[in-house]
Amino acid sequence: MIDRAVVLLEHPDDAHALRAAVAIAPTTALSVAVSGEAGVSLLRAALAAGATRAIRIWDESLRGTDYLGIAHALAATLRVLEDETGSQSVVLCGDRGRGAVGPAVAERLGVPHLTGVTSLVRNEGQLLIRRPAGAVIRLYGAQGTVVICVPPAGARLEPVAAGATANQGEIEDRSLAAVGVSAAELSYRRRFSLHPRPGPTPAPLRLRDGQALVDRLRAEGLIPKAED
Amino acid sequence: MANLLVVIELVDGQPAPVCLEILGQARRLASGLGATLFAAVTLSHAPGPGEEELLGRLAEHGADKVLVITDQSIEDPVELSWETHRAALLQVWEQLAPALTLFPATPGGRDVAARTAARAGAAFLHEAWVELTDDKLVLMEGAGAGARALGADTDFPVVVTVPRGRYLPARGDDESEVEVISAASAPAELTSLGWEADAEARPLILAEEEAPFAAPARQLAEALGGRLACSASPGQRGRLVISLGPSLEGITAETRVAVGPEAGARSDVDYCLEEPAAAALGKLLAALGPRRSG
Repeated sequence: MIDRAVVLLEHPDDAHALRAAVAIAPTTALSVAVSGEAGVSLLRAALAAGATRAIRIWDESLRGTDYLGIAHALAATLRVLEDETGSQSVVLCGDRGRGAVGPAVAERLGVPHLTGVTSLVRNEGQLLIRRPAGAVIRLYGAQGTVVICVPPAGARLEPVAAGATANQGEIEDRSLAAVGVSAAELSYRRRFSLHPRPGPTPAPLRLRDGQALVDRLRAEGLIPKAED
Repeated sequence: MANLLVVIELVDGQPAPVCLEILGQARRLASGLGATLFAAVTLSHAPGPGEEELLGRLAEHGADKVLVITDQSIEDPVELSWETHRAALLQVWEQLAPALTLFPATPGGRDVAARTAARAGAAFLHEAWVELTDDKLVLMEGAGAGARALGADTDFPVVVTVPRGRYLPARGDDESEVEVISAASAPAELTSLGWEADAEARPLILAEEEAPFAAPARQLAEALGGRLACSASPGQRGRLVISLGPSLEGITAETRVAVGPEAGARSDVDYCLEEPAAAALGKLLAALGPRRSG
């Protein structure tokens, strides 16, 4: 039975994931690989927005690691939290852009995941999940640990200065060693990382006329086909 | 010899257009690298006469070999998702050990690509550029000055998603080898509770209220069974948005289209029609044909 939520915070646009988590269960905000004041500010904002606990994992070896290195550290932390609390959690993360870390965390934990989730409701320990799929919304139920990836919507998390609001709670700083991860494990993943390099600029596909656009949208299943 | 794998998503039993584009670019890469190009498609049943066109199209668009993975637990038609397709995908991946795996950057493709990469310990790029430069594979994501690339010597597997409209389809042989693989179905990890209608899935047409083409814009919205608005609401989502001028900021949409003389200069859309909106609307309505009833 799920009775806790953990939200993985990397960016202020992950606010929607935080709001979804706070709405269903006592929430721990977890930040990994966001260094310095940016990470602290993010977690402060999460506490101000309703998280009951905030944990920060940071180590220099996280700098430059890739999505899987970050997921490895997050998954290790989630296992430690599960051992400490003795309870299962729903794990939420923002589904912005790359959307790689959430599914990678699920893979490390060996649990299911869903991306693009638009609604999450908790009903007697079970989660009811809504996920758009084509022209419909598919409904899923989950009772064990699951990773839910939530697209950005609504207001971002706004920075909160230290002491700006009451009952902010403390941010717990933990080391990699405290969650059973070595710097060497993360350093290995640096070779899979991306490095700055000027690249092309995307341009829209120019369609020659209205018929071409209609044909394309029909082939993609986005508009009804022509009547026979 | 390296293997390249393109995972095919189906729409009404046919390859999604973006998958044919990806297959085209993968064909060019495979030819330049001396690699074998596989196209993998999942069905609930062994291919029969009804799938000849599907298999033929994959060959015509450049696949050296087509892998059909059958999984009786999958309902046809169903969009790509890790929950339903993981057994099939992993079976193919383990069989081929591809150096490069390409998925469409669709909601379904995004659901499976990163997880597949994580399972394989592969590098992952989102909405990637996959190019050959001086006979070497160049893999990048992002755009312009903010783009990033993988290191030059990728001796490890890479998984990418590729967005629609980035590449052109290619021509291959008219026939290719077809192999049918039966996947061992994986037990469901989530409880499927059915589905419901999605009101936000209706096409959205954006046109300024005072625009001279507001009336045909309304006709287009009606013809598509969609909605007309003069601006987007914050956090609005949808499958298809057609902008006749207004900004798309704040909308999360699967497909974005711009219509107008300057439409080609927009970087926030997938497709564009570069002609005056009034003329374009008339042609769109004509192309749609008689309005569906009901």
